[in-house]
Amino acid sequence: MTAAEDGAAMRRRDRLARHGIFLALAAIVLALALVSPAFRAPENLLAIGRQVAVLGIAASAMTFVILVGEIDLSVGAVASAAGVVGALALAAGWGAWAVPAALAVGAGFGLLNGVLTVVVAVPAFIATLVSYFIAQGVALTLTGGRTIAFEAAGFRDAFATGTILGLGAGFVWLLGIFAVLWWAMARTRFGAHVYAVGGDRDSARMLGLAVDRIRLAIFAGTGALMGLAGLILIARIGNARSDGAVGLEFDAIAAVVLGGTALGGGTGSMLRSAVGVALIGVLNNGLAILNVDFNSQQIVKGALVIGVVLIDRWARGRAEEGQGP
Amino acid sequence: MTRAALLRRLRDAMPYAGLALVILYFSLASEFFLDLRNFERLAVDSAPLMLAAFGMTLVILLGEIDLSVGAVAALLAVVLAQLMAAGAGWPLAVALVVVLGTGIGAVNGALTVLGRIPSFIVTLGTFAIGTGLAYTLTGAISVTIMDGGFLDLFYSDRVLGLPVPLALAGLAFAALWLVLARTRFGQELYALGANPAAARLAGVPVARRKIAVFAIMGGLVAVAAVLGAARLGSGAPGSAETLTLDAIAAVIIGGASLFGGWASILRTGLGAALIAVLNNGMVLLNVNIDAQYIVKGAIILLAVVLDRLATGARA
Repeated sequence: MTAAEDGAAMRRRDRLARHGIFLALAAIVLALALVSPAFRAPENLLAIGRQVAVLGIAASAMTFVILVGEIDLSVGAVASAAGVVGALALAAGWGAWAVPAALAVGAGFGLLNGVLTVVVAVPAFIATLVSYFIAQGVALTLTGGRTIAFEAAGFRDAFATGTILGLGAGFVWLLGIFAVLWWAMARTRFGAHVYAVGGDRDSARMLGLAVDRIRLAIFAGTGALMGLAGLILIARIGNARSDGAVGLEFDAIAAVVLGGTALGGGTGSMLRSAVGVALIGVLNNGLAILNVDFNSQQIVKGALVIGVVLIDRWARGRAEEGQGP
Repeated sequence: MTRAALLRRLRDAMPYAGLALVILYFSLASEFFLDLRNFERLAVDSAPLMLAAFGMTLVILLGEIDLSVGAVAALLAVVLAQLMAAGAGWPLAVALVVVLGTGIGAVNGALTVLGRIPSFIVTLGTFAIGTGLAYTLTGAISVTIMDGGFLDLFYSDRVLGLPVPLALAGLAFAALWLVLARTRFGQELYALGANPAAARLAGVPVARRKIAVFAIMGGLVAVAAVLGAARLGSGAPGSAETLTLDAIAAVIIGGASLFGGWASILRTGLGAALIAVLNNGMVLLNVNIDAQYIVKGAIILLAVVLDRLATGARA
């Protein structure tokens, strides 16, 4: 192969890496719209919006986590635990105090993740696995396997079932969180520092950036946002279960990685994660409409994530000879 | 003695002291615990965990992780039961399941090494696929195993006085201990875990060794699945939910380095014994089974923090 052909092939690969996600989204939407009248019904668009609120918030936070070169495997379990605490608080008549209670549970686990990863210097996948197990245990123990029901119409309207300008409240929360995080990542000094830390942690440290505080803030913030996600989840459904957000970490990581934010940190963007969220959201919705059950959806998504990461690695070429985890 | 040396002592003593402590606690707390029959049942029931934990020791020694263990074990148990329900004899079914498990492990390894994807992502993917398949294949209903000979052989029969599950776990222990301590392959794994770049320069075939370790992990999980299915008398899609947690906990309590390069089969065995005693004791004391996640999570937390304090923070 000549150098010119090699260059052309690399450019093709690069284009595929950058635009493949849009093609994939368009193809999936088109295919689903062709086979399913229920999918292309206008009200289904609103339904997708309702369904992606929790995933969207988790993926937005996960974008920061992955961009800074870390991972958080605990988001699903933490959102479930926070939702259970919120539901128990509502059922016990705490009223609005259920909200700070759930947020505190989320932030607490986020802080635990951050301290373990940053201060104790445990690999993030182990630290967040520990939180995952503890949060799962908390949710299971608090519910005892039961479904926690609560009566709180005002709460449900505020976090999910109400509408603002025709949009579901959950989706509005997502838009708000997304806008703030997008702004923080793309327009602030903090965002620039996150890219720097994710790109080359040692250099960032030598430049005098507050590397550890940035990582700690991202883990804690992710936890707090998972508290919010837990609230939106229980508000939408009207009750809480210990496995309410099971698999959320997987969908969130999938959305971020599908969007093109590289595992290992340094490159990526919120807008690309939004496309990833749309893709996973459309896929979840479409597969459900086609009566594909949850377990088969997991098979499809598992294969999808591995496939996309493989294509991404291939498209980026063999720039770095990767070793270790 | 300096503070660091003291912490190191404490960390190294943890599997022994922890095991002694939980045995002491449950002996005092439950009248049923200190009983030879209970100990034998405890040991037999812990065999699948032992096998998974031994495999996980090799994986963590290389600085990798396998989050798919529980899902793959459940899937293989289901496949085993379905093969036998379809008329396959148990030798054929067991052989196929071991081959399948080894193959799944090799795929995990190949994707990690050749695809250059972090192993926690690869195995999160195979976790999702495995769980999904186990439930889809069965329609979420356990598949009963009718073959009484199989059930006896892999649960209650004895060889040389030992129940078969214990004998198999002991065999795996001896084989892996020998491999790690006495063979070139074992030396290469330590070198690879401690410093992959140096190991590569020294001529260690990095890709082949990593894939081999994930394949061994898969094979051991398959044997664990066979033992689990024999114990339950069925292949159940939700049967191995805590296996991943327990196996990782056993290795970490055993003091393996989370960054790779140091691990020990013997100490993993102690860690697995601690987890097994905990599982048994919590049942005897009627502790809410759900609380085990919190207890085990807290124990891993303690082990991890001790280890990091002892080795000094490394950013």
